[in-house]
Amino acid sequence: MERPHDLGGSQGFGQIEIEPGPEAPFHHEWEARVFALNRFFLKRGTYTLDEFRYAAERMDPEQYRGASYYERWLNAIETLLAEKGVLE
Amino acid sequence: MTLVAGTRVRTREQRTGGHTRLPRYLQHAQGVVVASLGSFPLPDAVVANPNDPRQSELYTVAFPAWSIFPDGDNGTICADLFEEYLETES
Amino acid sequence: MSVHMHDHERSAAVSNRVKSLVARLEREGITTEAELDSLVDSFLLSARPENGYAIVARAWTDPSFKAQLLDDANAAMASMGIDLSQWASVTLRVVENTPENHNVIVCTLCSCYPIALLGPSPSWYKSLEYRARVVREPRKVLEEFGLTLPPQTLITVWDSTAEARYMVLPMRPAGTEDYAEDELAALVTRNGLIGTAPV
Repeated sequence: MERPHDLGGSQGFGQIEIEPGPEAPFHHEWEARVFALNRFFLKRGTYTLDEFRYAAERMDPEQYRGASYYERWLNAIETLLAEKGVLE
Repeated sequence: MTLVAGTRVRTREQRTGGHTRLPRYLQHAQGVVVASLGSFPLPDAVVANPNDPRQSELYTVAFPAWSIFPDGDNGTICADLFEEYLETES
Repeated sequence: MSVHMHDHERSAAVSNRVKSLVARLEREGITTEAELDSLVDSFLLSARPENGYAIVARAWTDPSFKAQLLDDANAAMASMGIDLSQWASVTLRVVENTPENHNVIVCTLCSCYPIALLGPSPSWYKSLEYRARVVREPRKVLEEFGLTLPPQTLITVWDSTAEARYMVLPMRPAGTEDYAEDELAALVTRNGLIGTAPV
């Protein structure tokens, strides 16, 4: 099984993009929303942090690598809400 | 069992399938316990049984960087690893 | 640039997905936009990089605080009136830079970071490139950040693989002997707390 998240030491990755100057906590309103959703469901006990991580890890490897950070979060939340029967 | 600082350990093979917090690059590696962080739900077990996962002791383990990446830097890599991922070296 | 246009379109698409998810949750009576907004607002009020700057400045000026910080950072937080309990059980660990050893933090498996203390991490910290490369070639990665370490300084990379969250205590810059605590705090940067800047 490929583990797209298990990146330590992987080769072939290039330059790290570094934003100059102080960076805002979120770049888009939807990122803050996704952050809030995850915090909400973790606090509510809908899922645990490990289940959340595992849901992100189960993304299709190509999708995982192509997605932005909070897009991966959104995928994980959608996956878990379906699996837990919160949203059908 | 609680491993004291200074205990030499070897990491096991990374479990295939499921969730684990043993990174691939640190499997089959030799290191030394540098700190004991307490007992926590084992992440591998949490995803299988979120309501009653088994607990595992957690340790900070230090690895010589050259032993992990022979072409890399001459420093140290530390990671927090559950006892389930470790075996002691005699 | 076409790459950015692509990012922009993609972001708009994800934004719509989020909107429809929140709308469904509202219809089901699970949560509301207002509730989600207030979660973020209250979080950003208490979780700020400035917390880290103040901790570092205190450690530079108060040896007993520094000893406690390195030994039991959670207790040191409590003594500064910083409450980490709003977050899940987080063990904060602070690692000290010295002329012999420089520390740098990563989470290769996801992007663990002391978020309850410092707020969201910088984008580069979450990037696949950083997570892949810094364990294998930390010296080269630090040089890309403009941090060139003397060859005799060894590097310890801390991979936050489990319950602990890490913060670096940088070395106090030379020539700051007369600085007050708030002047010292103003010298510290968010990258310095991760180990990709000297301070």
